[in-house]
Amino acid sequence: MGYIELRNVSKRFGKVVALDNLNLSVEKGELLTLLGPSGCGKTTTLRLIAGFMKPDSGEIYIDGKNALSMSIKERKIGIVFQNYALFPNLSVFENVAFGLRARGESERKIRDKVQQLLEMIGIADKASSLPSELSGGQQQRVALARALAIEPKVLLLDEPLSALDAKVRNMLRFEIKRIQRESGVTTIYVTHDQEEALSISDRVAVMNKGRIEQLGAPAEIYLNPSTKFVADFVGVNNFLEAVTWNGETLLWEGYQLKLKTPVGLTPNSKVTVVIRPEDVLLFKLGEIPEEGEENLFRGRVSGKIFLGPITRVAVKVKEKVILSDSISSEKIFSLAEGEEVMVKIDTSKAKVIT
Amino acid sequence: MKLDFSIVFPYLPMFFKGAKATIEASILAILIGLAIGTIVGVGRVIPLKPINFIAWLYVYVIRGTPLLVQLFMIYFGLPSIGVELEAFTAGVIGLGINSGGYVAEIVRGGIEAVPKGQLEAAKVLGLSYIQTMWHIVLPQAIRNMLPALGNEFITLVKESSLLSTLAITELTMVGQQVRSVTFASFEVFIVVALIYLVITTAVSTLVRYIERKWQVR
Repeated sequence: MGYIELRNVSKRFGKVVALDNLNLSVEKGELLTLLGPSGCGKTTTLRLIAGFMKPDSGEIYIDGKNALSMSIKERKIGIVFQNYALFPNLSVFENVAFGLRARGESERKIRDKVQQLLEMIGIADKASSLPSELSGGQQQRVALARALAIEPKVLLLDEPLSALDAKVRNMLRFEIKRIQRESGVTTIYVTHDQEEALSISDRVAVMNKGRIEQLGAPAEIYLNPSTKFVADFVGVNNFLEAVTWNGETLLWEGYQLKLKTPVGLTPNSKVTVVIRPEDVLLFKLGEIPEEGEENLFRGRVSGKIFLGPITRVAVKVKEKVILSDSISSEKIFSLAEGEEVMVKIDTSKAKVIT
Repeated sequence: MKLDFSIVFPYLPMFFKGAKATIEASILAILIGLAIGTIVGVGRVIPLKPINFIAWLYVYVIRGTPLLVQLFMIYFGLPSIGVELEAFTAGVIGLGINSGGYVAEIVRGGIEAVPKGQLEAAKVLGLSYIQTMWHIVLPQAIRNMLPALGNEFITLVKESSLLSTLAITELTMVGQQVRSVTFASFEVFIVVALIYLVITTAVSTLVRYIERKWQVR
């Protein structure tokens, strides 16, 4: 049994099914991320664990005990919200001390604990400031310290970085990871940002329509998405709808697509080949011999986006658009819209979803 | 036609007496209104359905009927069920009950303006509902409420002129009395209006002062 365990949990809001028979097991000390688009049920899951609402059916266990018969206070949970939710009328120190005071700790213990936390988050010098005098990043650090002060059994982070600008977000991401490691607190992190989820988590649960579509280590989710939805969500942007010809050849738009590893399917089955833009190679005409090359198709450039270190080029092969990412270079910059090019699909990196 | 304020001057002491009655009635009604409004306003947000309903009904009835009718009910109506109040007492109670309905909505708005996340944060940190209200919500709510409360107090001062219909010699009543002996209607009510203006200016200045003192940032 996991440290946090959800069994067959369902929750509806009127006619909308927010959670549909959800099962989830979180190990002690791990950082698990619920990743998904808005409305997928990730925040509902978090709020059920916190006790802000009750499931319509199913069970929730925290540390082996039935959480549904526990009050919010008894669950001993730390929570951090997207909008910080600091108490604006209290100083940073008092914000962090708040939970300890509510639990009747001694003044001495409160002082030591708050001091230690403020040092850990690196804003010990702001103890007497009001939240409004801090930057967004600093406020979120205080919110984190406030949540950790009561030494919670579970730390819940609800889109904690979404309100911050990119630079602060990237920095705080590692900060959260470090603090979570140091404190060893079992953590559930909710986000819709796949990059954030992949970089911070021990495991990621990709959610869709109130269910978990795939649960696994970040690398596994990224390299081996098990459904089209997961693939799409973690940034595999090319979906080629094809049919099987034989075990190792697919037919796509009348072209043959040779696979490196055969799929055990009967001929004429419908499949989706998912492939990342970085695994679609782009060549100018004449750059590569067209004869005898597998999975090489002729197309026309239909668009180009400069993304800094890489440039994404959209190539129309027949009527289908394939995205190809290349290291930004003079060659790529010189491509004109409508220009004929060759794309090569590296099927060793492709995944076939049935 | 020329305005001649000298006709009014001999009556200034009467005006000041009337103004004093207006101020007294307003202050008492404000206090009653604040007490009722706080209770009813909190009654609208606490998680207890029957209380929510009673509080809602109070606001609904008070705001949906004329103050003048409410005053008549208290002063002329209550004696028929054996409750006889002095005119001034009846007037102050009526104004207070009426103001309570409006203050309740201000209190509710002030409380609801405090972000919900803070309440949830307080809950997980181990605070009871009442502790959360007291330490987190109300200090912020009061600050949110001040501008609207200032308006409500000013409205109440002006509406206290309706007390003249209960034969209370407050400022407006004094105006009518002086007019009936001097026949200088315009001059009399210009003076009355100016005195109201002084009172309402004092109220708004005071509220702004308190606002600034409470404004931490």
